[in-house]
Amino acid sequence: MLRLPVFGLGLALIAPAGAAGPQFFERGAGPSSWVGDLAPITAADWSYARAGHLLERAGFGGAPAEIEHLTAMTPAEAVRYLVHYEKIDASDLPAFQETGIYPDGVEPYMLGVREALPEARRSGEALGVKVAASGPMRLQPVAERSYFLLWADQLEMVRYAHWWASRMVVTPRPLEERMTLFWHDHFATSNQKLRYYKRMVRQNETSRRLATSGFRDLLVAMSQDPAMVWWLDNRLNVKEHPNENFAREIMELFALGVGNYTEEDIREAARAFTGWTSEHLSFVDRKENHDAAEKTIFGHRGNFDGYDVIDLILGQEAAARFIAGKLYRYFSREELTPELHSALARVLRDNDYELKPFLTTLFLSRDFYSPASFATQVKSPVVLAVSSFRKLGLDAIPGTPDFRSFCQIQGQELFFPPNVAGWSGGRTWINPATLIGRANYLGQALFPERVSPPGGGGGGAAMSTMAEISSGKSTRFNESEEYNSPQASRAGRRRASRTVRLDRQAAVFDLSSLLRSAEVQTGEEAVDYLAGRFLRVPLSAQRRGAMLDFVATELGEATIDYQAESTEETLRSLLHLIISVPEYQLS
Amino acid sequence: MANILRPHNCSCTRRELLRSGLVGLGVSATLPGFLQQAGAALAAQARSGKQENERILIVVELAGGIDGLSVLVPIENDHYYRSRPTLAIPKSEALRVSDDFGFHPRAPGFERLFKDGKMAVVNGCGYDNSSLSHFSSMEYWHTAVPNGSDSRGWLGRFADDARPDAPKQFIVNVGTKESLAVRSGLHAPITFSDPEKFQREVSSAQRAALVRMTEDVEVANPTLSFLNNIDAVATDSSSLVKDACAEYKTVIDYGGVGALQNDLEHVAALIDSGFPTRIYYASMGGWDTHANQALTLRSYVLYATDALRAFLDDMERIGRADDIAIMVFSEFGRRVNENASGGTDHGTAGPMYILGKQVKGGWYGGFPSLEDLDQNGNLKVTTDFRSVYATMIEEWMGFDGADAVLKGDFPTLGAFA
Repeated sequence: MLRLPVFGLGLALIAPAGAAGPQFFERGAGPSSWVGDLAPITAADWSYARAGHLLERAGFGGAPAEIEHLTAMTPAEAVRYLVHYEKIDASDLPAFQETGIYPDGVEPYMLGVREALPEARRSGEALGVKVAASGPMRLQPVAERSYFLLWADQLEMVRYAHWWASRMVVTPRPLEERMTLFWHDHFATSNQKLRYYKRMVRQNETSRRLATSGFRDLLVAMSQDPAMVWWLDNRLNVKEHPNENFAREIMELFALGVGNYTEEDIREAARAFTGWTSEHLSFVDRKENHDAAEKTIFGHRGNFDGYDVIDLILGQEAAARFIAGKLYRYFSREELTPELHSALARVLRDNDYELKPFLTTLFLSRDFYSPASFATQVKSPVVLAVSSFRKLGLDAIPGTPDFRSFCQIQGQELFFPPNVAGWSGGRTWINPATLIGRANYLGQALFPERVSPPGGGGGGAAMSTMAEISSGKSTRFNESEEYNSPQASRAGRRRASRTVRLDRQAAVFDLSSLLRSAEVQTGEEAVDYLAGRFLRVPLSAQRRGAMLDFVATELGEATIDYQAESTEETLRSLLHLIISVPEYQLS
Repeated sequence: MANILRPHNCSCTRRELLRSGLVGLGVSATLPGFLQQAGAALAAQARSGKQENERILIVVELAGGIDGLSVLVPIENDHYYRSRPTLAIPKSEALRVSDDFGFHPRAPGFERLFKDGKMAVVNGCGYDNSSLSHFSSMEYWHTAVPNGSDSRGWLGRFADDARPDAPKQFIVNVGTKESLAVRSGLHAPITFSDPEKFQREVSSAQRAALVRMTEDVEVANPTLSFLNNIDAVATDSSSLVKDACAEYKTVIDYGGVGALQNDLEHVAALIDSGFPTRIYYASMGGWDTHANQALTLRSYVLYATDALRAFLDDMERIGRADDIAIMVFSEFGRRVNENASGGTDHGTAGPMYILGKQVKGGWYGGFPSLEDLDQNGNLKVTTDFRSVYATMIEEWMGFDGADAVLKGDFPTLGAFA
């Protein structure tokens, strides 16, 4: 279904500037004198191409009507519109529909077979399943239920990731989702370890709620987030046995960066965070596990707790530099001079770590539109997929081809980041195989009938651990005659894939109508319109020439016959070529 | 594209064609770029009178910080057993290879390689002022610049210095992500995980258009120049990789499940098909055993050591065992004392392993004291890991510019005959 690609407001479509679409590439990158300049651009500097750049970075790009909507504003209005998105009604966005795999009263720490079986032996019941007091294979139902929940949880996580990416495609508040994605990368937490999707969902909701709030709020919320508490083991961080994992990462990866703390600071901060844990989906501060004695952190002495550590961290000069630099690199570009870095850190500190003023400065700055920033980023796999479907006018991520497999192969599976440092990003996304894989995935979305139906289950990061458990090689749960582990795993997996249904719907769209309504009449206009709609920079003469020849051969004549049966396929083949050129990776 | 490599009137395999330098094909402008590249490089190699099979370096990364004390167990060391009340490998279970050491019970592959004299164990590897962060430490190992940084990896710099004009397939990184270790100034490593997916799904008309659109040119936008280059490498290499892996058949069992087995089998396939690759890189994660270490290592140690042993057997089978050497490393070892969660925390020094038929098997580097620890309770480094890198560059690959590559003069170990 084609969605009218507008921002949810009543919006008059602006008349296109040319015969086939706006002046896509006119006044793109600003002058090189803008590099490093945080002064805001003015209404006189504004253009369709620059509005497109803004939407690409602060969101996921969009169809021409969305960009024209921003072009019609002043730059300050456009940035305000994107940054202060609370004013835009998003209540129509579909909510996630849970399958409901967990029986009531199941405690998440009981979910593993290693936990459930002893419990069943002891009490005669686990995971809502009663077992017989004796007899062969008496624990088999509990083992099956346990494996079912392990498999079903991962599948439900996959469904939620699909829901989230679809929300990115359709949201009228693109920056909200873009920042939520940023925080998922920043506070990178993986369901590979958690195996309890509800905690990941809860973290995702928290990130969205606080996406552009203050950095302190985010640090507190994430320090108390149940998923984080499990992910970095703070639930094990107690007075008698301090665990440094969380204290180390909040300094190294979340707030300060290497070189801005000592090992002693980490040990002391770990003591301050003792007792911060979770119960089911809620934060709990267990005073009896808290080490209330004096600590010394960054040279300050006191009976610090977690809140104090966060305030001490944010009092460090390095904290503002760290997060300002990371946001800049995420939204603008890799290279950051010390002067610009200091200026950005000052903006953040002057605003008490509030993010909206900082983002406003960033998105309005001349530097953001300078040649060093303009169309010089590589799209991440998720951004590539989302922006492609947004530009195509879809209202969700298609169910076919398989979005999860694409993300796994490309190395950016939502809710399964590779480690606590998040995704490396930038140019590291691109190698010969991922470049080919990107074009293949989008080609399959354009020609879903060519995709063979997925086999059961699938492989990759989400499933690999359990694949090991379920493979015949692993006999470690199989030493008792009370149950058979491989058999339980197979049965649990079968039931999980029957219970948790993944969306397999291919996208329905009509490229012919899209081009016809843009008044595209010739093959040449089709090349230029689609290149303008989907690319951030114009095609090289050689590439444009190859596409013109391709479309001329396929169409047979200069004027497009929209009645002809083969036209839709030809246009899709042309679009497949456009999304296959190296330029398409640029954001 | 495969039919270009196997013309109808020729019964020879691609391997034979690649090895023969493709001279007989009459490399011409009508051939795709990759054939010209490979052909020219191999022809140049033939002209220079070098051996047909040049030495190949394979680097295997064990990411996450493997617990060296569990892989190579100091079975006569009381401090070890005191420090690891629940995690120590009992002397009776270790696979003894010397008076003082035995391998993890699930490492029979290593036991056999060591006993066959095909394994050099380099003890105590690391660097001064060790970082306890995975990310920093791995970066230091990748760049060979501890407590510093570099945009290129040590293997990338080695390739740049040793073979600035090498063919496009000079470095292959089997994996989904290109490692910083192979990032280079002059080479674009071929990085792939699944060879079946390393292929454009397009019609023949689209393919022809895409070949015309391949422009490996510098433009004003540096990111686009980078993408143009990768695009050209992809176009030139994808069919070669896919066909080599699809055709490869081996009777050797690479072991159970896991990525390293597949990755090493792909390396074997490319070597067998005559790829001009001199540097291969593969990685296996999952070694960050803060909790439940014993259970994790039972699987992971078996997978890793079996796969490495199988790969060497496979090289022997295809007659290439004399041409390859493997270097195995991890970003750090783990803490001597076990923690309260049945695991071990981030440590410092750990053993490295050099495997291969040409390796002088045995012990290198000093085994660190388990009593004289640093302030964090970690082992003190006895061997700078860059000495092992220098050994691979100079002694194995025969390039005498290791000091420039590694930005310092590091003594080599004498680990090759």
